[in-house]
Amino acid sequence: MSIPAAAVAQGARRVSNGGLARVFLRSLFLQAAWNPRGMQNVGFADAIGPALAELYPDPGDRARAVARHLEFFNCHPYMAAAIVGGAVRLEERVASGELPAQSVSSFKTALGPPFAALGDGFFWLALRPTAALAAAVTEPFIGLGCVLVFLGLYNSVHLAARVWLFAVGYLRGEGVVDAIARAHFASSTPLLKACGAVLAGALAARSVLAAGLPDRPFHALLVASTIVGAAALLPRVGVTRAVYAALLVGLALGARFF
Amino acid sequence: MKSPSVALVRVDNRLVHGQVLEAWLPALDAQGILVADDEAAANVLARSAMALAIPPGVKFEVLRVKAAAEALKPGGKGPPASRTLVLLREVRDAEALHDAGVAIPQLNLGNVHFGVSRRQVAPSVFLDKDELAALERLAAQGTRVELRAVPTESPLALPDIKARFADV
Amino acid sequence: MLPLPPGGLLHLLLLAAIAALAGGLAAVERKGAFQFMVSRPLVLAPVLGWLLGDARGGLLLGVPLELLFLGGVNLGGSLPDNESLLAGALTAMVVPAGMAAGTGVDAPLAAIGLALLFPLAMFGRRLERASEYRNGQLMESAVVRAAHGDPLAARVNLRGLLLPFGAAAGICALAVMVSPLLAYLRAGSGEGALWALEGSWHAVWAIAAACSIRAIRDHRAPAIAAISAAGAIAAALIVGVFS
Repeated sequence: MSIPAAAVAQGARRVSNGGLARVFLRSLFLQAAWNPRGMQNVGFADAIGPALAELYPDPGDRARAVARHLEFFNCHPYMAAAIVGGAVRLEERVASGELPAQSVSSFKTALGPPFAALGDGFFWLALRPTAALAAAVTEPFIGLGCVLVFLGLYNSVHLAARVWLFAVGYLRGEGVVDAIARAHFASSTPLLKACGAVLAGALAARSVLAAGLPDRPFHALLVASTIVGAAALLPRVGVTRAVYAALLVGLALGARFF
Repeated sequence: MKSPSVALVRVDNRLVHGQVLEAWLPALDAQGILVADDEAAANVLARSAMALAIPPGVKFEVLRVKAAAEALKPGGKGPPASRTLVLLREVRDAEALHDAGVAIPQLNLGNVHFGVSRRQVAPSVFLDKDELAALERLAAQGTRVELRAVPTESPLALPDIKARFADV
Repeated sequence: MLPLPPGGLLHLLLLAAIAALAGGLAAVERKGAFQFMVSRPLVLAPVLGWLLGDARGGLLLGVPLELLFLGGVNLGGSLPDNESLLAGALTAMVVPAGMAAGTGVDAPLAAIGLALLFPLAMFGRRLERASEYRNGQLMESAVVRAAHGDPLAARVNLRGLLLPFGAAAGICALAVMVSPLLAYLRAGSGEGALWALEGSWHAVWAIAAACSIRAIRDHRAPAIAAISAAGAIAAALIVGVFS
């Protein structure tokens, strides 16, 4: 794509704060039209739309920029905020004639998959199960309040991270990789998972105790061995079969089971 | 420490991402990842972002396809760790490794994105007829070709892939 | 005559409309928009339960469902079972049934409901694939429009939310409409059947605990969980002995 002549004449172009806010809000819908060929491409092109509208006043230029952003893109939906922010910064430089349009595309391609891996590991496989387990373990004591425990724990980290990632992406551009390296996503993942494992153990203990008290060691043993056996077999049989097997076994044993 | 070896060769347009690190690494008990890709080897940003995502304790290397072939073929310096997962961007890179003398007992197709002449054979895999032919040549020489994004899915074998290609 | 909620058929229709709206919004929030985890079973079931008239009943369903699907994760194009659709439909069926039967949500109702609706989790995954292909058409139209100079081509994005909304809304409304049947089964169950169903629900809880250990994908997780469980049980016994 050629650099619009007007951009060169005007010098540096910037997206307004209002424009940035709109890009961020739209980035919350990144996966609305997730599809096998382009994955998050439509969501990305839609999210960056308000920035492109400010940078490319000519509708033809803007449509060409949108077309560029309809290329394949996929990332973790939260971590993508950093790439959306970074892409806005790079588009400013493209519109100002400092960079070729291709650089935005290679930025997205280079960062999408590794950031996806970071986000999958941290948010999906560490923060979410750990926050949910914290809620499940506290549920007998606080009842419905446990829902707020889950949403509070999860979203205080998630929302702060999402806003920070977008801001740091926009402010640092390609430097976003160093900034994220210092944010310890990768190194805090194992710690969070260990907390999750402790909570999962506590939850199992709660089931065993609920079955065994008062003075019903046989019930406790039955529940404990079901948990251990199921945990060992789950990867092979899957959740669906395990649930139906449990429903049947429970039906046969009846209330002896607890 | 076990001796360096290759656990699996995978074709994945996205190279290092969640499916690879969260699903394949533990399933294979892999101790290392070797990315064999010219574009990634030449791109500092891509290399540093990938390094950021690799879990601690996993050896990680990015090489051009040619250099990877030199390392992996008999008598080469070998993969970086025991049970290394080798990641390639394109099917043609697998054939390049094979033609350079690297043994590929098993080839996994994970993600191959849409392209103009490619047809969809699975939710995340699109192939053109040259790629299908390359896979058949590899299979004829003893490579077991399978298609699945993550190890918990049931794998699709080459005859099924061919059937889906013909159906589209 | 099938048992209906206190307000009769009109009440049932109102509950169906509420369940449709909440279930549909949850389907949208699950992947297409926000992802604040409001559509997780742990949140959706008690919230929908509250809207239908029994928040605690919803929570009773939501906690074990959350644990059963704790390890399900969307990695790239690989899809997990749809826990949100199951949680929405199960709550939409069991909570009104509990109100109609006069028992509230209890273990036997939950066990029958889960046995009937569990396949929805897998069905939901198929539904998601179908809507991805529909989104593929949206994407193609966006590409064509951008190529013809339309700067607003990517605005088709939000249309991708319609199909998941509609499908989940319909299923949740249907779940409310068949709830009188579940209430009838519950009301007609004898002592023995209730006793057996109670056992079923507790067995599901044991599976849920096992799933939550498996959900932590780390090779140290089972060992850490075992130590933690042993410690918790020992602590409980010691406190129990000295109190």
